[in-house]
Amino acid sequence: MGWEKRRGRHYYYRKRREGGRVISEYVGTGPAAELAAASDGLLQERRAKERKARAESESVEMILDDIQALTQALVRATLIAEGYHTHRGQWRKKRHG
Amino acid sequence: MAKKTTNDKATQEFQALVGEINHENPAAMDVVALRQALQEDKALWHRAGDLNYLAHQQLMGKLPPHIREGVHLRLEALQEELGYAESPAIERLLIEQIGTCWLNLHVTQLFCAVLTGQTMSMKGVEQWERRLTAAQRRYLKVIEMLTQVRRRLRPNAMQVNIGTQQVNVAGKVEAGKRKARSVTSEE
Repeated sequence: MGWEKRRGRHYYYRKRREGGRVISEYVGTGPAAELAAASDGLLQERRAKERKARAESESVEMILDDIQALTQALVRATLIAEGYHTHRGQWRKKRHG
Repeated sequence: MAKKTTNDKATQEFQALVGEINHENPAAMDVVALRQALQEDKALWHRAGDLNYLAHQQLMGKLPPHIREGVHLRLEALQEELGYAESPAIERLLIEQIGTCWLNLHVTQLFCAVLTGQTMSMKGVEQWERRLTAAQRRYLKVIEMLTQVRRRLRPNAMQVNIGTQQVNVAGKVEAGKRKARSVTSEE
């Protein structure tokens, strides 16, 4: 998004990426363009907030997955040490041991 | 694509070792080695505790300051209901994790409510719905793990309910003789 100055006047353009190329789309000039720029600014701000929230959430989720994997291993180890094993997803106690 | 993980090599090796021994007739030597690793290698327990603390702090930091104290008290009550004080190490670890997963679910629900109340793309809404489902799945999974451990290692442990369904039926609880405490996951 941005204002471009051409022959002393300001014009507002929207930029987007399509297939690796940047497409510049003319929006306008004057109050209408200022309104469009303000609206785009708000949208960008909201997207940035969403991205930040998502990144933070992903970081905690990775830690939670790691704790769960480690705890699961500790639970399994504890049960195996007590003579259990899993059979088709079910914990069973060793019969003769 | 390999799954992203923060777990170190020693943790991954321990996980692999447990997977290898988990069959009907493990070698006695392997079981002894595993027992020793559980009792002597405190690094694994510390790592689990540290990760849990890290997640807890990050999640608490996401909450608005005026509700943190209330959430903290609710977490303490939850741990007490689950019998934290009188539980062995493995159960304590699970109870702490239940608290963190409950907190994660609570924070995710809050974010979903706030963000979906604003104008949001369909993709964004779907991502947050997936996140919420994953948070619920993690929470239920760790409750199930606690149930599994108690059912097998402490047959007279307390009753755990998921919704209205009792998920551990360990130890005969006779009416009037022993009052079973009930913990529900309907948060």
